[in-house]
Amino acid sequence: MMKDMMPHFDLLQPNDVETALDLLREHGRDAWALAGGYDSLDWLKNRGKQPAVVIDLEGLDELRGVREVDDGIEIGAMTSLTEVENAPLVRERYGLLAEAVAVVASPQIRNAGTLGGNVCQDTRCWYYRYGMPCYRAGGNICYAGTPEGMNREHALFGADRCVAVTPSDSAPALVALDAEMVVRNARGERVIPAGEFFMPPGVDITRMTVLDPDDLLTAVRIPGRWAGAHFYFEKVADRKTWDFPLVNVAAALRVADGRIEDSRVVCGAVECVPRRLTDVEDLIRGRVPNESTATEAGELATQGAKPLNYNHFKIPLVKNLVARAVRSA
Amino acid sequence: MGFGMACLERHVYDTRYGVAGNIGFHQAKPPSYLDVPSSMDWDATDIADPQNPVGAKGVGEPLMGCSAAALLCAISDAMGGHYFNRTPVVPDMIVNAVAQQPPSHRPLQVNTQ
Repeated sequence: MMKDMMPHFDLLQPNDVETALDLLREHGRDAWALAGGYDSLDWLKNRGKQPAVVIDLEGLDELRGVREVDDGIEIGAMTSLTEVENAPLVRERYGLLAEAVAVVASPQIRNAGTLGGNVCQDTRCWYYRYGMPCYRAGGNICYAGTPEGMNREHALFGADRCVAVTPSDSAPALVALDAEMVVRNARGERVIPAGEFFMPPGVDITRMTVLDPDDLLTAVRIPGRWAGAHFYFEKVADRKTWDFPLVNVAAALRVADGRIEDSRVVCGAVECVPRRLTDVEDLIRGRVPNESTATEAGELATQGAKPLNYNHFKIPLVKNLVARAVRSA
Repeated sequence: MGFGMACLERHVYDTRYGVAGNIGFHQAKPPSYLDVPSSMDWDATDIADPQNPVGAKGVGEPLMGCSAAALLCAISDAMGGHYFNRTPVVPDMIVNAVAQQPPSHRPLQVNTQ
């Protein structure tokens, strides 16, 4: 397998979104949309993917920036993670997202990596990345799920032939904030709730999001619903910087008179999609966020977990992270 | 180097398919300068090395053992004396030990997982 060599492709650099969408429609599955490039170049250099055409989104200025809209804010998909982190609108109202994007990878990567790229990135399962012909790559075996598989980073929940997990830090935060993904193609625009944007392997094992080949994620809208709520984000990784989560948790909580009125609790890196813990949300509604509520929430969060050979440490990790999120309210 | 040896640099190897997992910096993680203290103190003991005809002592690799040992001792101390007897000690081992779960690495498996 030839590695670490940039293959030949045609580079197209549209200056407006309409042209980009037309190009995506024209080239379909042969095209690759390039944003910050941190996930893309990895695939291209290792020849894991060999698109005939790469469509560079760098020139699409209308996809950048944080804007105020009727109910909340809209963040362009090409906005860099550093810009999202430092945007006053995000910091004031949605501190959860600012915290989440602040721990993505390293400062250099956050300067160039985009919010759209962070939510759309492919999984980090190392068998898949290595180029093994697994289910996700169109083959008929899951190497990580075998009895000898090295699967420390893999899924506790929702495994369906594939045991890979979502690697994103921003995705759980966006699901917790009830964000909406604005997706455009040459036929028009559609808005997808963040909770339905990510693709479980049982539905389509070959992609991580619901985006079709001619679709482009253009913006992320965050409604006013959770603005200024109490937030909790925590990421556990091997390394303090430049690493993917072993588990992360994002929580938004509304507390009144010492009781939790409503909440969103979402865990990342435990399933192929960000795992929203609706059972935990139901359990803590109306409860005082004390030690016993937190412990119960943690226990409930891991019910139904199916650990693999090397990832049973994620169970106490999820328990503790969820408990800490609840206790912080 | 020492911190990486103590807490980060593992070999990931699939024995069934003979595939090395840590071919990139995602699996084999040397610490970056944001992962180590920004200022560290050092001192020399100023004792001539008796094993060497001129009394000189290397300052490269020997230090790796000291920093790795210091960090592993600090982890053991923080965990009330629990020790792992291996390198590297990565977060899943610490979580398993604190949660009193069996570790996922096998006895005498050093440097790998």
